[in-house]
Amino acid sequence: MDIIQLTNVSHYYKTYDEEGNSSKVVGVENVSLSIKQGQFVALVGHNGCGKSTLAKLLNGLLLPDTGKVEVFGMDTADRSKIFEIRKNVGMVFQNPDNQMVESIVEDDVAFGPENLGIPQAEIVERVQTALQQVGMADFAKRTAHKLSGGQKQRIAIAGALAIRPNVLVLDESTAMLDPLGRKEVLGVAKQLNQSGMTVVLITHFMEEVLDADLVVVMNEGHVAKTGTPMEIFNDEQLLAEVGLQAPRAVQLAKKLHKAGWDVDSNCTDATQLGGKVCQLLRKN
Amino acid sequence: MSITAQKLNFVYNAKSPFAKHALKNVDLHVESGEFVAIVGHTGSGKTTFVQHLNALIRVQSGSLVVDNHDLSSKKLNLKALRGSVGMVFQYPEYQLFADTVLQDVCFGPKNFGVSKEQSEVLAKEALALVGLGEDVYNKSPFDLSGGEKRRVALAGVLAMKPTTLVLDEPTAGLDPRGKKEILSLVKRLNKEQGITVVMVSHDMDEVFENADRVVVFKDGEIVYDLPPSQLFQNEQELVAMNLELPQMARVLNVLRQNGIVLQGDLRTVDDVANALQNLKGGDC
Repeated sequence: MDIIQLTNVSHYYKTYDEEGNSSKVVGVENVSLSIKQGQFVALVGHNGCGKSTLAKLLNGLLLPDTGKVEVFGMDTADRSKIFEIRKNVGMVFQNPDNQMVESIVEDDVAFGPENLGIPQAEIVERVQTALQQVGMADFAKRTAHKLSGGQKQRIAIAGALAIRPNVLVLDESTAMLDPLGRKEVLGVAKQLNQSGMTVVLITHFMEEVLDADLVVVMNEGHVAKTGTPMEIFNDEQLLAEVGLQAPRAVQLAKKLHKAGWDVDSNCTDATQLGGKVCQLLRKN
Repeated sequence: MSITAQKLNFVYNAKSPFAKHALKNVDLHVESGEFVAIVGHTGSGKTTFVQHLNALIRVQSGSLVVDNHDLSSKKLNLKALRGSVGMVFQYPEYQLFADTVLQDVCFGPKNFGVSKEQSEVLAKEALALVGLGEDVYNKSPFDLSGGEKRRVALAGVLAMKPTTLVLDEPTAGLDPRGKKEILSLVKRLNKEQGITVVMVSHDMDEVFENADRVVVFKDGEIVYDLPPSQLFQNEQELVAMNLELPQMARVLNVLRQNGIVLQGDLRTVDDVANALQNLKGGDC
């Protein structure tokens, strides 16, 4: 089932020159895209390609200038539906320090449901469940700002989960984290997806898109291509055009495959690839 | 210029219950013109160490000599030191402040007492070095893309003509294209101008491909100081420290464990592909 449907969506930003004349800058232009229930969608592209604009269109933080965004059949331009839409689409941003509203972890996670006017007893239950989902239940009473980046980001995800959304949008939520923090956050995202959550992951790390069901490549505000990770990584012309690179192991597998080695050109794991190369060399 | 640290120790919040021993007997020598990468898990002391290099943090105990300046001496000439050691912080684009790109880059030299005209000459040279032309001189730095902003910030440091460049995660948060631009720039400065580079990084693929030497920090101590090709053979030890392995190193490690040793200092995907192809007999 398509739960999010974008039809010919364009969004422009206004800029002003020194004389105060405004001009339009393309955020996204003519984007059509549908996201299905339970999908893990990765959104990639270089800076300024419109990824974040697209993300903000998904829950009505930005509205389309032309075209239509529908979330569970609700038009984001319909002001009376906006709260219902945001309850369905939770969002986590890049900088963990900018997303903490309370000093204690459980208070921070409770912020969302409190604003929805949920009864106290249910809030307690929701906060506990959300913290368990991100593996931070033991940190409920801790001071939020003293946690590591990865932990803070997991708390931010818990904050979104406490609203019980159907879709979780992670807008470069791993960009500012160290490798361990990235692993933690990505692990939580994958686990949530496995339990049925639709996840939209915006990222610059090509290693993170390998397990996605669908990869959407953005360029200059347009969707340049959608496909499985391997369909994208096989399109060398596209990658060069939009300034992306396949993970190094994938690059090596493709090079060897091209040169006539009997390796799977879709191999994504460096250790596996090394093993296969050993086998082939031994045969000779 | 060369850097020599001997028995360097640093304690945050000394004599308080929150005391943290951030550097423990650090001994390190960096030759003039070297490209040294500093890696380690968050909280391992990397940033504390590099902040010593231009006396942002003063030496508590031990000795540190950078470019003939004795940093443990009370009579340290800070101005001369900071003119020769350029420090590029994490997310340096957050430090841009002036109305135009040219004014921003001029700020450094002007503060070192260079005349307005001469600092503009230096600024233009520095901007050319980072690949930015006349068209950006009068633009607001805030209208540039993320990668461009970072290059302006880097130009601001280069305009002071440093002989040593210290970079704290210079590619963090950039898209793949921006990363490549910054890295090839740093490498060029190192190779062509002989600038000594000390770079903190979490991206092991990046470290593997660029550094002459890798220094690994753990709990405030240096645990490894090796060329990348040797360091990443210690697979289990590095994984135990929560460090990732470069993908090409993983391929090479599997080959080595199976008794296949490729000749040469192999770093990139192309290096490995060509070496394998040579082994098999034929071109790749």
